[in-house]
Amino acid sequence: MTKVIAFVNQKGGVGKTTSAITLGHGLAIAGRKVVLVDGDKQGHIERHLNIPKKPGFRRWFYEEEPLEEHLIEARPNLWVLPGDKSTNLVIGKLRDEPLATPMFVKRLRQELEMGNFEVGMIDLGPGLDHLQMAAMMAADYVLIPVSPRFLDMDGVAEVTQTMAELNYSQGKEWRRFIILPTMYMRMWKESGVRLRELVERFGAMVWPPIPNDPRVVEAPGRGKTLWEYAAETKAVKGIETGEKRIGGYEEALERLKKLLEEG
Amino acid sequence: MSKRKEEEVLSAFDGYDEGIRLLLEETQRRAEESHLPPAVKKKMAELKQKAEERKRKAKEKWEKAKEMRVSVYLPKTLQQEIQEIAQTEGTSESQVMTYLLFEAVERYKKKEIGFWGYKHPSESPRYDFILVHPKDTERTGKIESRKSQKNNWSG
Repeated sequence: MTKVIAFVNQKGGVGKTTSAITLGHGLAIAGRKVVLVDGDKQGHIERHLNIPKKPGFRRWFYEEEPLEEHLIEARPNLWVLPGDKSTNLVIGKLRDEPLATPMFVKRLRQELEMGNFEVGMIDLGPGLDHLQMAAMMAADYVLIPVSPRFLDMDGVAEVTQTMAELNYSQGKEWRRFIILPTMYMRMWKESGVRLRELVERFGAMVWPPIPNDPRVVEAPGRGKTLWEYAAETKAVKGIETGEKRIGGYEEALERLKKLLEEG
Repeated sequence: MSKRKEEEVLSAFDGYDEGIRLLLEETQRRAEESHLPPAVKKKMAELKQKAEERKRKAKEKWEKAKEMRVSVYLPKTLQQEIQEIAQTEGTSESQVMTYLLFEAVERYKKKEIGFWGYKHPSESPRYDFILVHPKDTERTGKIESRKSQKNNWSG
C-alpha cells in the first residue's frame, strides 16, 4: 500500500523541498518507487532536479487528467509530478469547491496505488492554506522541517495546531508526525535553545537535526541531489560528536525506511 | 481513536532521542563554560587544543599503519607460539611475525625451504594448490577427510 508523506511548514526556507528531494531520492536509490508531488507554485523541485517546470499538478487535479500522463522520471525510481505558477488554480479549486478536498485525497491515493508507487511525497510551499490542508488529509505522515530559530518555531505550532483541528473536525488520524530540525548550527546558542524547546514539547517526535551545511545550498545550482553532489557532507552524515555521528539525512532516511516498514 | 493507538501516540511524546540528548548536553556544557572566568576559559581552550592535536596525530598514525595492515588465516597453535615468543622477547606479535617472515622469505629465495611434497591439488577456481605445513593439523585434517571422501565415492 502506498504511503503518503506531506512536507509542511507555513514558514518558507526551512528545508521542505531539500528534505523531500533528499529523502525521496534516498528511498529511490534504496529501490523504492517514489513520486514527488510538487505542490509549491515556485516549481523548485524541477529546478533542483534539472527537469522542466510544467503545469503537471494543475493538469492532473484542475483539468482532471490522469496522474500517470504527467509524471516525469527524474531519476531511476524517482518520479515527479511537476508544478508551476498555475498550481494557483489547484488552490482555487480546493478553496471554492466543497468536495474538492475529499476528491484530492481519493484521487491521489488511488492513482499512486494504481501506479504501484510505494511512497508519495508532497512538497508544499510556505503557508497553511487549502492545498496544505488537502495534502495533510491525504497523508499518512506529516513531516515538518523546521530550522531551530525563534520565528521559525511558530510554523511548527501552527501546523500541529491545524493537525489537531483537522483531527477534531474531520476525524483525520495520522500514523505519525515528525519534526525534522534543519540548518542546525552546533556552535550557535540559539539553535540549542530552540532544539530544547522542540523536544520539551514534542519529545521523540523530534528527529536528530540536519546540520547547517553550505553544500545543501550549492546542490540545486548543480541540478543534483545531495546524494549525487556531496554524499559525504555533514548534512548527510550528521554531526560528529566523539565516536558517534548524530542526525543528518542518512539517519533521517534510515528512520523513514523503518517507519515505512513498520507500516 | 482506540486506547492502544492513543497510548502509542502519547508515548511518542515521551523522552528524548538519544542523539538529541547528546547535542543538548553539549549545548548546556557550552553555555556553562561561557560563564567561566577568562583565565579558566583560556586554560580549557588550551587543553582542548592539545586533546584535538593528540587525536589528530593518533588518527594520522592509524591511517599510516593501515597501509601495512594485512589479514591472514593462521592456525591457533601458531598464533599461540607467536604470542609466547613475543612475550619472551618483550616485543609485539607484529614485530615477531615480520622478523620471522623476513628470515623465511630469504631462506625460500635461497631454496633452503621448498614446498615440494606439501602442495595438494585445489578445487578452488582461484588457486591451483593448497599448501599445508605438516604442523598445520587443522588443514591437514581437512585434506585427509577430503581424500577419504573421494575414495569412498570412487569405491
